[in-house]
Amino acid sequence: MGLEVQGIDTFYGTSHILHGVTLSVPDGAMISVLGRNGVGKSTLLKSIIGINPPQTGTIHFNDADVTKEKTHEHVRAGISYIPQGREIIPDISVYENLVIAMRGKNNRSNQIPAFIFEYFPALEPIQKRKGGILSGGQQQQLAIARALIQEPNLLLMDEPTEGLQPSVVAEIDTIIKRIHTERNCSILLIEQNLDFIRDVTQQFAIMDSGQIVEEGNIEKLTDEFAGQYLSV
Amino acid sequence: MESIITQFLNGFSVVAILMIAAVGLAVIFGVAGVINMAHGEFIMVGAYTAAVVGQLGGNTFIAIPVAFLVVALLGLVVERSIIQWIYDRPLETLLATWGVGIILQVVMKLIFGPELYYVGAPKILDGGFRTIGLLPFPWYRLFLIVIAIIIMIITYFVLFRSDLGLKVRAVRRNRTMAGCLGIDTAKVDMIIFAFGSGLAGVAGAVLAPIKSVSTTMGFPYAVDSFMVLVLGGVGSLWGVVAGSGLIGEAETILSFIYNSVIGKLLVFIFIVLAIRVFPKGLFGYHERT
Repeated sequence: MGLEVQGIDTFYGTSHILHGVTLSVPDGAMISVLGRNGVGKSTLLKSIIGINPPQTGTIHFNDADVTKEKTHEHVRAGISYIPQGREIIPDISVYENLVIAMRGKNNRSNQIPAFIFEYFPALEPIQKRKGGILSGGQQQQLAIARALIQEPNLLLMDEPTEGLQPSVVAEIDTIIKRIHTERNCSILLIEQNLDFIRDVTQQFAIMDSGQIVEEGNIEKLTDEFAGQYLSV
Repeated sequence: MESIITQFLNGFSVVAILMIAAVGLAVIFGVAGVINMAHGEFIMVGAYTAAVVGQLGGNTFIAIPVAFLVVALLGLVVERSIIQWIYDRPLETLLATWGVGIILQVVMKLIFGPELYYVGAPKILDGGFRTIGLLPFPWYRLFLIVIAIIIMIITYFVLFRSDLGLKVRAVRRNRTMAGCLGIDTAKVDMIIFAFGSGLAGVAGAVLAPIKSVSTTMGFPYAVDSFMVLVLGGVGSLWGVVAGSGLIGEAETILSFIYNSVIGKLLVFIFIVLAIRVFPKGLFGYHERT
């Protein structure tokens, strides 16, 4: 059970980005993927969620082959995705951003579940505000809330701390740990912030040139070890 | 002054015609991103549908829902057979819909022949009533204004007060992310293409009594519709209202003061200047970056 990525190759046009990537995210795991810019981390998540499906290899989720499924079918199968840059729908309100995520999971209710505002109390008073005018921190909270409202079994997060001030990063850190433990949700997280990774996740994978080159428990991820792969 | 006021009131019916003609194009262009070059021909098919309904003993009131269904079905067939494969290629969608328009013209000419068809207004809407000026204002023109308002209200509710509308707006703004939120974007495209096509059909049905029905009748309406969209802002319902209002009123009043050619020319110059100042149109959306 969980996510099994087996030997996938993904292309952008003729550019070969992922080279036989194999990765496993068992139920309940929280794994971070790190690596230099341009090594294929975001493409890995986009391949899993179906934005840029692999040309070869397979992706299984909870024992079902989802390799060729469309993006919305992945969501309905229990995978939610928080993209780099948040991608909040700008001209609909915070409330509508949340409702549309519920509709994507065939939830017809107009009531935002109470647990969302327990995790993100800052969103409750700004529900009528348009997504496009929120601050970066508010947008990140909304992006996580939008994914969480779908009650996923697996959450894919692409650089959730990017561009955020330290106090907001600390909030996101706490929220991710709570989601993992309280919502019974596996998390596959792409991140560049080593301190954040070490605090939040238990396992890591390092990518280089479109391949997974190292994997292990988080204790192994010392500055010296990571430096071999992350220094420019 | 009284004449100007009368022309201003007459302008309302021109505004209504522009709104009716443009809203279907705005919906398809704004949501699916397709520049539907067959929009004029969809209007034409709606007008022929009204002509057929008239020959079968019906009137405009019956023709409106029939034309909506016929042209929505036509739009659905076009979307499923052609457009769905080329959504992400704007030039190809432009050429493909242009081709669809030509095919529709030829097919309709084969079916109905080259002669013009005349569709009468419903008896209840014959004649007119006196306004401030001396000329009577036709009931049918008033009916067009009412229809335009009804169409805008229905479209507003579909786009802004329904679940479908919420999905449509999400797909319009960020197709990839909408998919990542679980929205079946292909289904939304299909529904909205059929809905926008149906609106073009309604436009044809209600415009048939004020214009002889022919296979080329849709082209001027398509041109006007594109002008409305460019001025008002692509994909904005309020842009359709504003664009139609400004173009319709300006053209009517300027045509009265000078003549129709000068009036049209001045409106074109106004649109060029307006898009210089508002490149996204009057109601183009601006966001925090």
